[in-house]
Amino acid sequence: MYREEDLRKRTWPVKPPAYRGDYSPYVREGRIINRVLRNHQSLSEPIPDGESAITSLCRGCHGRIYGATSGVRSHLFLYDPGPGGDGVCDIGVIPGATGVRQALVAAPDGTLYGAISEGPEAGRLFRCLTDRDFQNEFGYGCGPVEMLGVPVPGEGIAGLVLDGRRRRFYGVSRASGKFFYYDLQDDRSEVKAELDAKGRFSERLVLDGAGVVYGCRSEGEFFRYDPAVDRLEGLGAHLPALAGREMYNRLESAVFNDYDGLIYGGGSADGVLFSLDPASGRVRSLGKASAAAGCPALAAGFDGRIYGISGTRSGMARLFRYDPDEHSLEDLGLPLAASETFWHGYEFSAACTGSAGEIYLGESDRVSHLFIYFPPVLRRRRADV
Amino acid sequence: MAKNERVQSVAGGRLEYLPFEALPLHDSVWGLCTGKDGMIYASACGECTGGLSVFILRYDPAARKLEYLLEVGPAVGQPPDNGHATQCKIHYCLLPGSDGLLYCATHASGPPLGDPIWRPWNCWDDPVRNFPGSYLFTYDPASGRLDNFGIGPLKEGSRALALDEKRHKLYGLTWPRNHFYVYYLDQRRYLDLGRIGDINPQAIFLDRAGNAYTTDDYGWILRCEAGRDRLQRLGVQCPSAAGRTGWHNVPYDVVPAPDWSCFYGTDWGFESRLWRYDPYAGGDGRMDDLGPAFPLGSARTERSMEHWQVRGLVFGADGKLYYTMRLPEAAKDSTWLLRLDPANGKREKVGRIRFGEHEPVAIASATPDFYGNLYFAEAGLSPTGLYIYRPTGISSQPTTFSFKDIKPWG
Repeated sequence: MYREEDLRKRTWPVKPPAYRGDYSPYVREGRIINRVLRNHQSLSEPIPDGESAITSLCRGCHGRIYGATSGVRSHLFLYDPGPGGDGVCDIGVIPGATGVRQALVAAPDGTLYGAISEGPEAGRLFRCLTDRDFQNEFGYGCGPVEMLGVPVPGEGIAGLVLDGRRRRFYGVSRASGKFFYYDLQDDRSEVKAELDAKGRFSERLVLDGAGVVYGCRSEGEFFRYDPAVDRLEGLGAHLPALAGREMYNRLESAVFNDYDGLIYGGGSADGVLFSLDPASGRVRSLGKASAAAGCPALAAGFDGRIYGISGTRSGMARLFRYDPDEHSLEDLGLPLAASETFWHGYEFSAACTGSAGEIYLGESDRVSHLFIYFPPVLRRRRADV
Repeated sequence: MAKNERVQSVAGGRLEYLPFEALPLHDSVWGLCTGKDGMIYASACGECTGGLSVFILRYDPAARKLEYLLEVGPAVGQPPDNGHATQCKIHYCLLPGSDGLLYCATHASGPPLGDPIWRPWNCWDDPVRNFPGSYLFTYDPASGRLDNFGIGPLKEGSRALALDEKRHKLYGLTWPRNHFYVYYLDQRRYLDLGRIGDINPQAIFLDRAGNAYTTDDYGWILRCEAGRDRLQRLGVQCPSAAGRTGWHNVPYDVVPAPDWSCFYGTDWGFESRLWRYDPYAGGDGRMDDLGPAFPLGSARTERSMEHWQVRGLVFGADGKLYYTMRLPEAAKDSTWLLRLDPANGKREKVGRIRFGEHEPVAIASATPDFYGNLYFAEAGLSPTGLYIYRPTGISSQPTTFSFKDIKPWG
């Protein structure tokens, strides 16, 4: 108990002058909107809370964006950015799935392929025909989900990447790191290698422009698989991390940037961004975009720049940008959208680039939204004016 | 009468002003409750000046005496000058237990010492300026003993709290990330049930079975089933004006009916309405729109969400629902004490809350004492304090209300 007289005699803090200036922590360069995971004009119930965490995104035909969620159940959904769409269509629950993690790809003919990462059917592949998908004033339609085989029995699958030219996709089994491919022409899969039986591998894969697959195996060592010679080899280079933290580090996100021909990626332990030159195998550390660990999502913009999310689960995600010409890594701020609904995006797990250069960010919270970031339009000037 | 009380006559009684003058910089009282001992407990919060810790105060209705019991920050190991965002508040998280203890959770928003302002989004990953987290603790006002359970939600504050005494657990809401949590007191176990929205509800309320309720951003009722720790969105929405979606229609204040047969609430939104929710009506329960809290005529309702401020709901001994609200005045809108008769829906003005030049900026919450006096917490002015409505002719004995009438939520 305090005596009132003592409190009255206490020297209380003095309030300093207010800061002058705009100290908004939010993304203000470009524009962010979001979409609730429901049909446009609120015409459907959203994908339920607890089932809506977006953990896979890819771009399909006609600029449509497809995604898969993780949670109590996994849903497959489609977002059509066209003027008659602009809503999210719940294609349906993926039977036996509670997680689809970075495991959704679209074939050139529009067929969607995915893999179940978690759940009773973990390890099973599925596909969805999308050629008849539509969304307009009168409703939407989308293809059924068809279950396929299990390339690695007893293990979930993650990290799908698709080589459209060779009509095959690659993936990794989540327990033992079996690296496999699935041939779309004859619906056949084959395990090519075991990355690390002790589980010290990364689930993320990425393709370069020639269809060579890259990833990280034991101790964060980069490997590549060249389908032309059917050989998987270590590169010697390692995934960048803070000193002493290499054993905690996994390749969390990666994207090929056709602007400069480099692969960009981020590590889970410290969120260090790096580039990997497929030609030389050289890895360059580009730094950290924020104080947070983790780099769960990356996408290559049409402006040649890399956009990504820095942050971890239970944290506050920040959107960043890397400009390879300027060698500049910049934090853009926290993703806050006011349309379709006012919402801070705190946790993200997936990203992809839309057909107009917009960046899709998959929120992965208990209640999740599809965020869409429109980078600023670069001012163009004629050289002779 | 204590020297720092000020008095004015209002309909059916007197209104008194009780400033906490020994805390010159503290600026709001968010936590307010009636203890098992019949005392009034309040949390004096300091969110506009850096380097302040919340204090717990006690007001003795019989002796009309105010006591400064506890400076919470140092008591939980977070002195207000340690550079972090301070343990500056106990928001709607000061709950009375039938064991005589106060069940508390701290909250954030006060700047570190020397900083003019603090925002969690700007400091989340700042190891110095961040808010360490919301401390959960019990405080025994009789002995002065504090039992510190440690931090519940890391880096976040607790905006609202409810106590399920039967199961000995707390339900809470974090800010700013808006997670719904359960804290098992016996096991000292924190369970995060995940994010429920972006707009922070200011209340979690409990039905007779121990089910906990709050809403999502659009006022849809969320229920956490007692014993199951599972959140469900019900098919019931808090009322909003026609043409609106109900966005930001989260509960600001919820009180049980005198017979606990249903709940009365109001929104932290642009609606400024009163509603009644009966969870026992079958299915997802029944929501009744009681309409605007007070007819505003042609006054605009949409300019500022915080303008009309329907707050401080509490039932009086006359069975009427008392509440405060700003009303349009010729010169300047001002805060009034109002009451609603649930039997016929009639609203009436009790009195304007004004003492000379002193007028409250906002009222945060309300509670009764056992005599039938009603206490209203002030927010937005320094020094902060309480307003006390003393109805004429109430009992001289503390028998009008008892602990069973006191809500176990903030």
